Amino acid sequence: MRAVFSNVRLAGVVGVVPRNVSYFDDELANYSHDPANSRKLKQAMGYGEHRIATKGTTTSDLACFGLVKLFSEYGVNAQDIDAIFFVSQTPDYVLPATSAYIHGQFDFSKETYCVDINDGCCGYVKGLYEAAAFLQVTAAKRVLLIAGDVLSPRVSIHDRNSYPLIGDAATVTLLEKTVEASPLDIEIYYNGTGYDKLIIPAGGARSPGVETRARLETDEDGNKRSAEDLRMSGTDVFAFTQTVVPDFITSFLDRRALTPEGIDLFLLHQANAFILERIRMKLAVSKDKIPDQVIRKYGNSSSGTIPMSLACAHPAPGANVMACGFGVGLSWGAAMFKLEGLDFCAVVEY
Amino acid sequence: VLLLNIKGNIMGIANADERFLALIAGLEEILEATPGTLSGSSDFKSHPNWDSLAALSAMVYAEDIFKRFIDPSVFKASESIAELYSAVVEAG
Repeated sequence: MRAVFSNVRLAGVVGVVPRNVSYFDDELANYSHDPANSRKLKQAMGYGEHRIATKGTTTSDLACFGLVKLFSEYGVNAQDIDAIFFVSQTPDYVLPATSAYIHGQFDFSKETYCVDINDGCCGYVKGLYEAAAFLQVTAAKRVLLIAGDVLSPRVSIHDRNSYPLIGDAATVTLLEKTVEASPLDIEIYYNGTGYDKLIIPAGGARSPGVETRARLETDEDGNKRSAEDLRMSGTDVFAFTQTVVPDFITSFLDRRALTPEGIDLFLLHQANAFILERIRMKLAVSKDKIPDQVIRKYGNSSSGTIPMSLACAHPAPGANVMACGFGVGLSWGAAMFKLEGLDFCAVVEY
Repeated sequence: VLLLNIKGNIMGIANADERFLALIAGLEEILEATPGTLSGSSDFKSHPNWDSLAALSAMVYAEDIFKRFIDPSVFKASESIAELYSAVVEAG
């Protein structure tokens, strides 16, 4: 899918992370692996610390905290919001939609359109597409794109493959319709044959039986997890990030007669620091063009890492930005735009 | 970092024999085996230090040697370093 939207501006972004910091070194005892070996993993992947929400905290709790900031400090009026797009894999309920729950927490108009999008690593790009399309074809002027996950309750603490990398966060991006915006250029792709490379097997209609799904099982690498926990095929996902993603970025730019040098900032999904470094080497761009502080400081919040990276980087007005997400689905996509300047840009603690 | 530092060993590799020897040497380093203890017939995946991190390191190292990414299934299917090398060469 390819689309170019005009008149859509990223007006501001707020990232919300839990106050609680969890350190890799403190989690070593949870794993069955040799601690010395685990420390190598820590160094290679950039696993120092991550944010883990306290029990009972949901993605919508973090998002609503961000919305309070938006409405109380950044001059945004809930009544002026025409739509809420909630991109997450961790809804509050099976039903209703979490966007509807969020709608009920503030003074939004009853005309405000609410939609949930179940997506992860490429979810922010997908959310940008949905929000921009909505702005383009309706009379809407301002929409919210909420993206992120509180995934920690769905990842086994005994899974060294996945637990060290995840971090809980929600982000709120304000998108506005304006005639002054430069094009928002988006491509998104899927390969659904890889649906099981990143999966939580239990919890949906195709769940294993209730009597077995909570049982911890040990994989060949010594990680323990149940069917209710995130299961990542590490080598297959890594292969995906090292083959499909760099070629996609290069071809995306080729199609527009651009090279990586023409991009000021690559906001890549921050899966881990090693993946980012290998992609950076393949694109042959300087380290400052592909930030990795989100994975090092906060952890991987799925659809939240790109807007978190934007909030941390706070690029100057006029910067040529490429946001690129890749992962669960399997899916990958990019959004390219010239940043017009952000009205607000912050990371706050909940 | 293990994953990146071993890259230095592959500089100047020009031919198939050198690539094969470099693959053995790289796997010895990744597995922290004594140099000279692995050979083409070695079952690298049975080594006590073979784990997910070693697998990622081997994939990256092989990519740097062969100048293309080797699918994880090739590693999974190979019983020895020689088999791995042959599979990579045959895959072209």
